[in-house]
Amino acid sequence: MASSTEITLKNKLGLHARAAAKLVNLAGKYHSHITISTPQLCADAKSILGVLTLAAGKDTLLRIEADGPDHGEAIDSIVELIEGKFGEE
Amino acid sequence: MRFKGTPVSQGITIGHAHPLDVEDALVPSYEIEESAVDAEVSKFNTALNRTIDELSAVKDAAAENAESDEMTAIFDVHIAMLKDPGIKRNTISKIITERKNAESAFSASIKSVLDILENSPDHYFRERVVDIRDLAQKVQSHMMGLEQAASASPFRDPILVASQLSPSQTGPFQDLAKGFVTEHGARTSHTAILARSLRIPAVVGIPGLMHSISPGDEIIVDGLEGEVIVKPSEEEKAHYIEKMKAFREYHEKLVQEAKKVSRTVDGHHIRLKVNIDFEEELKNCAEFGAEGVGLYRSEFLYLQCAPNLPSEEEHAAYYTRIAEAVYPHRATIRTLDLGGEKYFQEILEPKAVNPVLGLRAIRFSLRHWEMFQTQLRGILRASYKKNVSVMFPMVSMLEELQMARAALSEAMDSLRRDSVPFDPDIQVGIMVEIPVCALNAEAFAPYCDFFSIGSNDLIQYLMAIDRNNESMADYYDPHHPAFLRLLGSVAEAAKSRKIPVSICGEVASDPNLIPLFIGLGIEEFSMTPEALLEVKAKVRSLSFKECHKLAAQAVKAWTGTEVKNLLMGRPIKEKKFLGLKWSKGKSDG
Repeated sequence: MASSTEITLKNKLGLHARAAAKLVNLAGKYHSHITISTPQLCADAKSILGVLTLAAGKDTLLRIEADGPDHGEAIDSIVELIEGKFGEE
Repeated sequence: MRFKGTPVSQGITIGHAHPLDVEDALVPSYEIEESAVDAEVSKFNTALNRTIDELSAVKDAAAENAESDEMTAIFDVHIAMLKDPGIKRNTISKIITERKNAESAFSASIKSVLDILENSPDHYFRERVVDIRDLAQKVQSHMMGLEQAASASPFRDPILVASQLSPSQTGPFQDLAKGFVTEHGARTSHTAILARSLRIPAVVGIPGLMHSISPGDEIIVDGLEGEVIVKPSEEEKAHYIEKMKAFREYHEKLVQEAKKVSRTVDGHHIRLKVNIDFEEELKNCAEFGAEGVGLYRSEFLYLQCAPNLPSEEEHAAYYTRIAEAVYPHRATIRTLDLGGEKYFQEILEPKAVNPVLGLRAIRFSLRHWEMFQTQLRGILRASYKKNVSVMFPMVSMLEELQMARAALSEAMDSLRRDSVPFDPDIQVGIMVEIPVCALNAEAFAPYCDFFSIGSNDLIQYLMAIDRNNESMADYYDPHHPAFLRLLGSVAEAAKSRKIPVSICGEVASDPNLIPLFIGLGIEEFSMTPEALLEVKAKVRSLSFKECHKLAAQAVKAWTGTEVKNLLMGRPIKEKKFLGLKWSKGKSDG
C-alpha cells in the first residue's frame, strides 16, 4: 500500500510559498500519508510549514513517498504538479 | 496608574477598558476539567474553521477583481498555514493531555513554530513570523469571542484599548465606544481621525500600555492633555468629572457661535468645509455651519462593503445621499485612496516593503480600469443636481491626470448611452499631496477646476518621515518655511488660473496655523467636523490684511522654530538672500 518516486525541481523559484501552498493543497486531497524529502530533510507533504522548512531550491532532488489507499494517484498527481512547474512558467 | 501619550481627539471620558489586541499577555491560561475537553477542542476547531472561511471569502473577492493570481496567492499560503496539521495536532494534544484551555494550547503551539522561524538564518522565514502572528491573532479573537463582543461589549462605557486600531476593528464599535487609547499611532492615523469625527476622546502613543490594563478596568481618557489613568482614585475621578463639565460648557458656547458667517473682521469670506468618512458624520456638519463636504474619503465605502467591492448602485446611492444632505453646497468625492496604512494592503501589493511609496490611490485606480469606471459612473450619477465634484488622490504626473480625465469621459459616454442623467460639467480637481505635483502646480492648473492640498501626505513626503511613526513626530512640522513657501506657490498657481485652492489635511484643523494659510492665499479649508467650531471662531477674529503681512514674514524664515516664534509675536530676523538662479524665493524677499 505504498509507493515512492524521485523527481528534480525544475521551476525557477523552487518550493517557495505559493508553490508550497499548491503542493500542500493537492496532498491534502488524498487519504494517504505523504512525505516529501530532500537529501537532508523530510517533511509531511500536508504541512506547509514542513514543506517550507525543506527550503528546496531549483534542481533539488525530491523523494516523494505515499502510504495509504490512494498512494498511486497521490504520487502521480504530485509528480504532474512538479513537472508542470506549479503552473507558473 | 497614569500614562502620558499624545492627545488626538478632544474631550474627557470615564469608562471601562475593552482590550482589542490579543497579545500573549492577554491570552487567558487555565487548567480545564476532563469533562470540558471536548468543548475546548471544538472551540478551537470552530475558531480555526471560521478564520479559514473568512480568509477564503476575502480571497474569492480578490480573485474576482484582481487581474493576476499573484494577488490572491498570498491568501492560499495563509489558508494553508492555518490548515497546517502540525499546529492543529499539537494544539489538540495539549488540550487533551495537558488539560490546557484552547487559547493557551494554541498560543503555545504557535510559539514553538515562531521560535524556529525567528531563529532561522533565512530571512524569508523570519519574514513569515509576521504573517503567522497575524493569523494566530485572528484565530485567538474568534476563540475569545471578541468577534461576538464586537456588537455588544461586555463592559459599560467601553473604551477601546489596542496596540493599533484598524478600520475593520473600530467599525463595529462606532456607536458604542466612549474613547480610544492605542500604544502606537499619531494625530493622522486612522484611530485619531475616526475619534475626532465621532467626537470621542482619544490618546495614542503609549507603548506598553496593553500590559498594564486588564479587561474591564476603569479608565479615564483625557483627550485634552493626553493622559490616561488606569484604576483612578476617588479624588482623581472627582477632578476629572469637574474637568469634563467645564469642557462641555466651553464646547456648547462654540456651537452657539457656529451659526455665524465665516468672515474675517475686514469682511473677507473664508469657506469652511468638512472631511468625512461616513455619511453619519454629516449630522454634525450643518449644526456646525459647514459649507459643504470638502473631502469624502471613498475608501470607507469600500471598507464597509468588504470583502466585496461596492457595486455601481452602491456607489451612486451613497454619494447621492451625501450630495443631497449638503445641497445646495457642494460635495467633493475623492476616488479610492487605498494604500499606506489603510486596509487591504494584502490585495494591493502584498510584497511592498514601503506601501506608502507604492501602488496606491490613483496609481492603483488607473491600473484597475473597470473598478475605476464603476466608481466614476457612481460619482457621475450622484452629480445630477450639479453639486458634486470629483477629486483624484496622489497625482504626481500630469499624464496621470490626463488618464483620469479620459476615464471620466469614458464613464460619461457610457452613461449617455444608457440615458442616465449626470452633470456633464462636473468639477474635477486633484489632491496636491506629492511634492513633485506641488512643485509643478502651474502645469496642473489649466486642467483642474480646483486644487485641494493634502497636507498630511505632503508633509510626510516632503520630510521623508512616516506620519504613523511616533518617534518621528517632531519632524512633522507644518510651520516649516519650506512647506509654507510650497503652499504659497501652489496657491499662486491656482490664482493664475482663477481656480479655488483649499487645504484638506489635518493642519486645517489647527486654529493657530489658519492665519498663515490665509496669508499664503488659501481661502478654503476642509477639516474634521469637530474642528470647525474653533476654526470658525478663529477666522472671525482675524484681519485678512494682517494675515498677509504675517505670511510675508513667515516665508522669510529658515526654520520651523522661527515661524513658531513669529506666531508668538517674535519677528523674524532679516536674512541675506543670494538671489540664486534656481531658487523659487522672490527677488524682493
